[in-house]
Amino acid sequence: MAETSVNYKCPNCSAPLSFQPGHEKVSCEYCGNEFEVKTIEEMFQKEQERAARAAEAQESKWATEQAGSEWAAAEAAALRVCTCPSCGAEIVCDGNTMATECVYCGNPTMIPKNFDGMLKPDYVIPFKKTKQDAVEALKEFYKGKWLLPAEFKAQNRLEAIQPMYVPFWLFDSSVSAHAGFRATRVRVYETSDERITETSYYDCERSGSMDFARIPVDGSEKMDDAYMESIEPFDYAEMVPFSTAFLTGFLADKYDVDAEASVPRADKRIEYSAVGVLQESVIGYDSVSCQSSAVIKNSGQVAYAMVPVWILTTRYKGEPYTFMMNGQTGKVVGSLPSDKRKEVLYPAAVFLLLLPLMYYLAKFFVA
Amino acid sequence: MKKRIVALLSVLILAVMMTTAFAAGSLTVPQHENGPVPSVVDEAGLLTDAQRQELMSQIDQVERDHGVRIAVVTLKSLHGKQPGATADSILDRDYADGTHGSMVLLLAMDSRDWYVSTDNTMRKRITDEGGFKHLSEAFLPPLKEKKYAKAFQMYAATADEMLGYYEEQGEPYDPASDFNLLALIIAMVLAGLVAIGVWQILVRQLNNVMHAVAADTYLQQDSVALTEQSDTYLYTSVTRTRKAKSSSRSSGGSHGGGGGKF
Repeated sequence: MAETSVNYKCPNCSAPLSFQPGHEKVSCEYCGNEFEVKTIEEMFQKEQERAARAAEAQESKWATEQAGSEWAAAEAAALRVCTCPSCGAEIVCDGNTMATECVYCGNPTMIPKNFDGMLKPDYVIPFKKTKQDAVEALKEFYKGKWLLPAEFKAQNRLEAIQPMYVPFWLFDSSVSAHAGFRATRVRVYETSDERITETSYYDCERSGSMDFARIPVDGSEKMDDAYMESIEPFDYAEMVPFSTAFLTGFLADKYDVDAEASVPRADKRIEYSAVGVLQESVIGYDSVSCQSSAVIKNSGQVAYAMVPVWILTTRYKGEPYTFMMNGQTGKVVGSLPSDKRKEVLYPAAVFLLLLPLMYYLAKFFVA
Repeated sequence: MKKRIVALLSVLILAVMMTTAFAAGSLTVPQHENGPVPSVVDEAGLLTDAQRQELMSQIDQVERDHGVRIAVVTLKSLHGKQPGATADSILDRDYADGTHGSMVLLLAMDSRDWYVSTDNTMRKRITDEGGFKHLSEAFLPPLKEKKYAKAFQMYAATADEMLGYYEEQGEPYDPASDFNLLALIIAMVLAGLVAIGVWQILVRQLNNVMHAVAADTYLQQDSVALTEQSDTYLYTSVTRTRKAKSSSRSSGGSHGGGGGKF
């Protein structure tokens, strides 16, 4: 049976290869050999072509067999079936999965068929944080959270810890910004029997130009935008030209929100910051507020990059809780459950402790 | 030598007597050679006979009960004198015989001054800090409405309460030690707001997922160039607030109390 998926096998011992976070090369955990990314890529290229052809053949056969059933047609549109090159098991994944691991033998596997019809990423930020780092970072994240239920911390059973390369669009933009601000200067002085407050109003006009580089917007429908914006920023100094070799051993999605659809989110952030830059130049006043603004994009470029994210999931009282960690910087984001009893107890304690103090203070001013 | 000393002493005694006579004589308060000076001297004629009689009996009762003098003196004019100094000298001259302290409420109708002077014994019972404020707040509202009889009654009644409190509790009455419902409500609101703030902080700790609104991290600082910068003055608005005036006197000295305008 022809293989419809590929994984990197060691040319020496045929064991699966993995890209180790923090290393420049692809290494074999079994025989200890290290290989250049380029060498493995070339080897993979040939294997990929073969696998893609095999997938096409299998897909057309599978589609024909399922003809006539509406349920199967809907499933077929979303799913891909491929064969694990290590154990021969059939792996089912969705149409956006570029890399995954075999659920039976655990070997890292790529789905070359799913690379079709999409742009090749320009860059990749390699994983720097390991699975152990992710678990430790999550434990650290639990610390100092007063309302976190004690049982949640005690159980601490993670259902899944998955490393995933998430597709991101990186927007470069050069803008011209214009804004009008209303500013005030306040002068207070006293006579023998009056306090006089003079408020002077000014109209402040500002225009300027500025550049923004690599504003990230995630291109995956599955990934929550708020989570992806919360794990920012990434250190672009460590970003390298894309190579599929980096994907091996990790899950990877291709984009399903194209660059055009991601533009408004980047533009909104640019506009906010551009007006902020102009507002910072309105100095010497006691208050400044923006009355109107216009931000015009002079030029813009987009790059496509894969960025590393650890996805950690756990369950508490039947509810799933998902945390995400920036695979490069280790920043963890997520939403924790709250202990309702503590939620009442702590503020009530603060209230009761403060009440006598506030009473005597209030009495002092009222009396 | 002996003659000289006698002569010097005579001159000194004469000088003191003349000074006192001049000071007292400059005030138009009736002098009483025999017996104590009445506790209500209405030179300005603010009270009817019936009101004066009623007030006198009320004040007499308070004076007997507590062994004090709490006089009310009204003048048409201060003749340019300071109300505090005048009240103090009237207190020393006419009402210094209170066993447990003396106090006088002085009104001057031409300048609309009021002043309460207390001696040092009374000052321990009606303190300058809390007690005087409480006393003046009791009689000032009717005084400002020109309800003089009512104001004087309030003055006597409040003094009676405060002196009774001192005798029972052994310490001067201080409104700050009273239960204050308004203060409790304010305290509950403030403590409640702080508790809500604490609750919000604790809840926010649990979730650090939020949308990014700015792109400041990605701004190329060296690319920022301002091409237009103009500030235009538009107008000025002016608000005026009257300052509150304090009327109580500073601590120390031989007299207590305080005053103001009504």
